[in-house]
Amino acid sequence: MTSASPTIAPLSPEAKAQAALARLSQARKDQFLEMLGEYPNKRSMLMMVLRLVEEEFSCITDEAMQVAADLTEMPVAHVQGMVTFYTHFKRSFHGKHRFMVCATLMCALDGNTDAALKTIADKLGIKAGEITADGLFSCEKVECLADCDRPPVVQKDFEHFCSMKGQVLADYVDGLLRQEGKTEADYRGKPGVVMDTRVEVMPSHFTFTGERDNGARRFDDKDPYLKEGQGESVTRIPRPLHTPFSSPVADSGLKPFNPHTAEANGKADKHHG
Amino acid sequence: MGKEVNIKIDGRDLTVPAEWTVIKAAHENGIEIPHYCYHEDLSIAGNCRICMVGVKGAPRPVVACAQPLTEGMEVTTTGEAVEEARKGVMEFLLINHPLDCPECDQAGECKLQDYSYDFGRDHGRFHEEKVVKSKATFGPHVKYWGSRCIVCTRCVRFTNEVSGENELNVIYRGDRSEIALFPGQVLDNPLSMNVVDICPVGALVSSDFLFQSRVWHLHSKDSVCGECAVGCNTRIDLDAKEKIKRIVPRQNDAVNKSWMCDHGRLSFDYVYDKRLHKPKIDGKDAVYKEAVAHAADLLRLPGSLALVSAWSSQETLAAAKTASEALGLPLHAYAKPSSQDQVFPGFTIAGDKNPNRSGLKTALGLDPDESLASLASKDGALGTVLLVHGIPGSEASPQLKQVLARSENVILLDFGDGDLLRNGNVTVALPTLTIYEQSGTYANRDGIVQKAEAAMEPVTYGRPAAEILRDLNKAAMQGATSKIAVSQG
Amino acid sequence: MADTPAPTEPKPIVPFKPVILAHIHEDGSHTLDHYEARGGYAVAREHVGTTDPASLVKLVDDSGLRGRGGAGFPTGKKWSFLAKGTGKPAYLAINGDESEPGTFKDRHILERDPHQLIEGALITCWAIQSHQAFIYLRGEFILGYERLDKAVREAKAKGYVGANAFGKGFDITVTVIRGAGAYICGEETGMLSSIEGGRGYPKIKPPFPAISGLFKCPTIVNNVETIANVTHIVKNGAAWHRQWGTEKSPGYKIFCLSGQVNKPGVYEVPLGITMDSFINDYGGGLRDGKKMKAVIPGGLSAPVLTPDMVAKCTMDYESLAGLGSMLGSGGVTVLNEDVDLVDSIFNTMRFYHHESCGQCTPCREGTGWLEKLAHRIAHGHGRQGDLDLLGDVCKNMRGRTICVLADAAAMPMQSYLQHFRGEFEKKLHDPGLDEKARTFRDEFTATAKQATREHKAPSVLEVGLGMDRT
Repeated sequence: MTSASPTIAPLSPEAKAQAALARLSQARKDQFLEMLGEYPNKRSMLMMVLRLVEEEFSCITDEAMQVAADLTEMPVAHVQGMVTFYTHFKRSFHGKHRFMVCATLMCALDGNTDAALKTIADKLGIKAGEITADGLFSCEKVECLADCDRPPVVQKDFEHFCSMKGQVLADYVDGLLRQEGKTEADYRGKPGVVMDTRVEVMPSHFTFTGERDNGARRFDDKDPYLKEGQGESVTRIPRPLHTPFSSPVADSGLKPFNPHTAEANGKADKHHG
Repeated sequence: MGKEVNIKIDGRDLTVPAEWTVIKAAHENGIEIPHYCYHEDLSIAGNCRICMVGVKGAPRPVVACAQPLTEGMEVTTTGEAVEEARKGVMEFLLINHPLDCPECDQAGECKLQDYSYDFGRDHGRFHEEKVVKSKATFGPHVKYWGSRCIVCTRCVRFTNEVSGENELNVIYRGDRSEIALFPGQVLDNPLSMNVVDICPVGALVSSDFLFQSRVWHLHSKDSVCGECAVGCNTRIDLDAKEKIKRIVPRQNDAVNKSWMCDHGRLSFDYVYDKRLHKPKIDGKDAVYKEAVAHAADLLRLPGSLALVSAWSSQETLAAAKTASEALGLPLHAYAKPSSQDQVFPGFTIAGDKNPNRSGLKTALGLDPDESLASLASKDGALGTVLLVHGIPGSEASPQLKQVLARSENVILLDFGDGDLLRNGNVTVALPTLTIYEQSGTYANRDGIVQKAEAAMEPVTYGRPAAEILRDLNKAAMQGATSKIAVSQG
Repeated sequence: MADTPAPTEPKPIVPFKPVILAHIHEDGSHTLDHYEARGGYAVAREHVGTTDPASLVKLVDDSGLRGRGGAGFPTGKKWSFLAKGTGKPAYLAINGDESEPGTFKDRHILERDPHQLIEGALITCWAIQSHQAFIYLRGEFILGYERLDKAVREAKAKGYVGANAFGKGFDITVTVIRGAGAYICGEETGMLSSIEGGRGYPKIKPPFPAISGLFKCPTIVNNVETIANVTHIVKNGAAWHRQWGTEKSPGYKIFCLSGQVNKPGVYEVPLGITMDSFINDYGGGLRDGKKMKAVIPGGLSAPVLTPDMVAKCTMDYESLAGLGSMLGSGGVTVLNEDVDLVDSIFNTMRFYHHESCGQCTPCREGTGWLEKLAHRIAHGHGRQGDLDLLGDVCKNMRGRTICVLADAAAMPMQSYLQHFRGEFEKKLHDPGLDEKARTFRDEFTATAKQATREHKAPSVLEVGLGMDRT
């Protein structure tokens, strides 16, 4: 149940769908209405509706997920489950320019993936799994992009490139930098920040008013996110983007192993991405 | 009856309905097949893979929960192939599972522990870093330990099919999968604590029961919830000091399936708070015999009547009927104020907050609302009102207060020391017991009669209401009088 | 590996020219005008709404066309399994989620000749009496989506797709759905879950999609290449298709050659040619004069072949099955002598761990475990007993899951261990390891061997070193 004010009656699914439709621009509204007749039910429209809101909001934010859920009359938790399942949707933690470098075997052979990643790292200071501090560029390793005869394969948002290494890639990145009014110097010496892909949750020591305090609160002694006086109302606690994973295990010094950002975790990956 | 098929499980010939799956056929015939994601009252997921059994003619073990039955099917739940399969799956379940048993609430009733002991390897072979997931609060009553979660999706299916609001869903992919809410949403529906029961591991825990007790220090008694007319079958877990630690539902297909609402689970604080310990006469402590004698005197005054509630058990109602007939008291009834039914896709919480309205109708032929209304509408003073209360929580309704105000004396049979005792014009107060401390028979909204045995030793010197009524009857009949003067006029 | 069967006798060579890829190099080959100019939509116009659907199914069955997506199931037989008389609509779901590493053939069909696919879809819809075809494209196909979407609109404008197709009174809707980066949505039921609008979780089989698939209705799932073949088979007949290939693997297929060869790319060749001829005559042989070390014949899931096996191998389903591998999607990757196979298998395991959907326990946990083990070995921290453990984990994963991703992860691992065990053992004993790693490893060698034995209580040493923990 959403934490809505008790005096406002919840909207019907039809009303919510109308409100969500009003949030779209005219062109996308038309696209949605055109789609309506083609599908046997609204739920099956979700994959395409998510692409629609991805375009509308320029990435899939919480608001975009809510709009997509209302348009298809599905619960928003279901939509969130979908969005976190599929890796190609552009999310708010990706940069404005999202580089995706194929790291599967056929591109990783002969060090092609590493060469592409190195060029990006040299130009923008970001390693795989990181985003620049100003949020303009992000780089990630993805799996096979189905162009294996011309490695390395790189995608940037909706552009697809093959044999993308060396000067070709360098020139392309330069072009983007010019487009954004930046230069290589702006990123030299400024390391990238690890992308926080986590979904926001209410921390485990959060207690509601009147709830019996059974010791969960004692369990996480220091909470970097709670401010003074917070913890009484049912509101979400904003999570700063750049804090490392915090849990009793992490705080004890053991780092959770995330092989997808192995470089970010400080484990050098000499051979392949 | 639909179509039936003949199958064989472990050499036993069985005839079962054709629409069942292998696991249901086995469970209904006393054959245990280990399972995590399967639940009788939820849809089939088939993702934990522990329920694998061998089927003759199939090249490899199949999952019993999703395997449809065919005529002449032969199933084996023992044997090397099945054991190897189970051992393999147990190992996979444990490789990323944290070693939380020392602090995990589920220990002692944890199926990972049980099946690991029965089918698992005796040592670990996983020497890598484990996947760590988030710990979160889902709602006022439910907390989530992500690292323990085996992603069986029982909780997701529950919020989808039973409580209907779809708050929970799986996020991420692969072994990073965990359960989460959408940011800003809270798992605060009235059925939220059921996900704690159905979670086979300690991933979802009840905030109320968190760290309160180890389950092997608890002993259980079966009971029935009295908070509404559904009459969910419950199991009361008590610690060594006979303190209620938690209430969980028992399965009953006709009444509550496997579910129970949060309110019913948490309604036991009143057993310990603000109890009426000793009989009182005009606000002063008294001895039981004195109080009963004084009450008997008061009942001889003209214009007296007895008032039972829809919370009273059948035994109380029978005693009240006998007493009122013997003493010539008109018998009326009242009920705890009710509200609308809360209907969920898989469960209904009755709006009628009384456990025995239907029993009242059968035993005494009274409708409590009409009865109280007719009493309230009459004018004039009343003599003595014998009020058999015993309802936790709410204040008395205005109608009831009005009736009590018009009466000369009030004899209150209640367990609580609250508003009614202080402001209800009470002359004699006789302590009774809560629903957990005495046995009682109740008829729910569908007329199903259920008996709740006493689950715990009484906390006070109170007695069951039926017993007090019999004592009152006896005292009145024997003409006992107390030394206390009865004021009249 | 048991005695390998002799390669099937090559049939007398009938000259073969590419059929599906015939026009992809021409300008504007993706447009409707170009397609119609070379006789496009004539076959659909002739058969849709007119020909007896059962006869079309029989024709495809007689041609022996096998699914080109990886499983190689006979297409006509699959169509004949479609449940009839259920009162529910039948659906056609075309799998364009080309995520198997090493495979890049559907991309070319979608980007350069999408009308072929649409015509095949129309004929198939008529044959299975379905009114709606869903074409599921992976999210990363951007140009492919644009061109296919445009092609569908062109066909709609001309009345080939949509209500009353070809004016024959049979409605056929073609809906293009975009995926978003999940390999598991290339699995047929994973794709169906995704089309239905949810996480791409595969469904439990039975019931099979032909009985109960999309929206619990009978559904036929076929690969893009398979459907593209339908037009040509219906036009030219079953015997035409059987001119090439072998008895059990008739026809031709698009293979994707990648790796360290001179001419990687897509090649449409008749089935049954020797793999040597494919790699050398078509692919120009290994580049830079290097020697071949291994070949992955059917996409990353296919068990690896040694050069000896390659010499005996012909490109058809039964030859590769006989060698313990599979033809799969036809993605042939050639690895030369410089490739570190242990790193390759780590890369492979990382792929499957990343793509596992997480629904069922053996795959969800097993792929992660395999990756972590492979990571450790590839980086020189392998211990004795790890190789046996890898084999055991693979054995525990196979056959116990909802879909075959677990098998797809375990099979390459098992094949590498079987054929290239020496490379792994070298990594365990590599004198090039740094001192710290070696000391760590030596401490464990003696105890690790014991710890993997069954029913042995851990020693005090093992407990102290944490070896006994789960």
